[in-house]
Amino acid sequence: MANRAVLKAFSIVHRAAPTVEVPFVSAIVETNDGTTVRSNVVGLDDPAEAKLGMALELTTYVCGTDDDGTECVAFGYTRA
Amino acid sequence: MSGETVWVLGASMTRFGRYPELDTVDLAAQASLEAMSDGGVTIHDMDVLAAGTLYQASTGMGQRLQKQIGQTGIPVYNVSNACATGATALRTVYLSIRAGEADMGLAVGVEQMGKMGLLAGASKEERRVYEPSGRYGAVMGVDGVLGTETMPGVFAQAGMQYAYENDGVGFEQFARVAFKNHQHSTLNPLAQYQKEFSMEEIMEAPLQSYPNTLLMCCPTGDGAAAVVLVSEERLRSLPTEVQRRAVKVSASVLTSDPYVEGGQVQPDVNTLTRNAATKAYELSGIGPEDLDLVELHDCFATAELIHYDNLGLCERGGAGDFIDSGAPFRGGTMPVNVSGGLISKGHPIGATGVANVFEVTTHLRGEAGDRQIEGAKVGLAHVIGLGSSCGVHILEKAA
Repeated sequence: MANRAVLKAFSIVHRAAPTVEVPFVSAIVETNDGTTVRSNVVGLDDPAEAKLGMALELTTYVCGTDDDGTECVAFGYTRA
Repeated sequence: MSGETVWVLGASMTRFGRYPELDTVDLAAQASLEAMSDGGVTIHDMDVLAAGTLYQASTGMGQRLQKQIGQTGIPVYNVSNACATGATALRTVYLSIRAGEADMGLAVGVEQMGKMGLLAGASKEERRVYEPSGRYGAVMGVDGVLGTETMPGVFAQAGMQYAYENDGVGFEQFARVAFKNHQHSTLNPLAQYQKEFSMEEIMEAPLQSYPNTLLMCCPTGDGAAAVVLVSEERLRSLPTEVQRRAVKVSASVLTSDPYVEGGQVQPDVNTLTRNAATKAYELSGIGPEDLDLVELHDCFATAELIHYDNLGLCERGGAGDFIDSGAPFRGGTMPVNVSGGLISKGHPIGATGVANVFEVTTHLRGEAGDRQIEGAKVGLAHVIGLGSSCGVHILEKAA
């Protein structure tokens, strides 16, 4: 699957369950080889920077660490 | 007689709102008794009962209702089908009549949600030690990590995808949908909220999920709606004044999701709505240009805008221009959600799909009071629930 993608749809989520950090940018992206992926847009200084059609790139990041120090790694998309 | 035309004989709804002092079955009983009374019939005339509720789906709502309105031993169907629950209950009675098993039946939709707040989006629970579980071997929930699972967010994305693919659609167009529906609600005494808001108030209200602000989201609430359906043959045996108020069900359609690319990762609210509308227009011989009013599923402002297109009310890709032109306002060429819609009238889930049919029926009878669309002869009622399930009913005034 291509690492490059475009932002096909998004929402800046301000209200979510108490354990979910807000605001965040929920995204539907289309990879450059045509697959639809649901993810977050990460690494923006301000969620308002999210724009329809913006070029994105796959990234991974640690989204949690348990008591044994095991990290949970998630994927997201950053500005390309 | 099977294959007969089916008619709405009686219809009623409670005002939507919050009724902490009542039990859910009380709301269902109130709407049911009023719908039968409206049609000049009683429980003894009913051959079938379908009761729709989502949150009390396993509680035997239909049988509990019988204990309030009459236990006559007729078949009872308890129906649950996401936000199309009410429409599915109605269609259950419709099918019983079409199959020749019943001459007359009662469909009721009811819900008591109180102040539930957000309806979906599991918490990202932090387990002490990660242990893979379930079919995906997950160590945590993905809401907020891989996008959102909340309804305002999911429907926001559906609207934003439309904005990406079409010109002239943005925050202002979505806000205008809410402006219209709040304005419409001021004429509907049955609406949960009956307050007009300015565009500024709507756009500056607290953001839930951009572009949906609080005033662009439907509330949770309580309420019930009921209709009595009757076969053509039985209708003709009833008094003339009863026949005159009957409304023809010209199409009753239910669809679910066909496979589409991307449908596995985000709900596709478009295709099944398009399919339902197309089939309903085919069955009834009625086109969108013939409709005098439409009640459609505006759970969020972003949803209403895309359904203008899905239901063929505007040109393909033209939903932004459509709202900007004023067409779906009650004085426009294609009035949409003159009840105030889910955004203002409210959305007690199980009741919604019956309440929309009540609303259209009331206009076709010329009995909608201050909110009456003058001379309305044909109307369409649409609901969609994620999962997904879509109901479309086309109704016509008696000739």
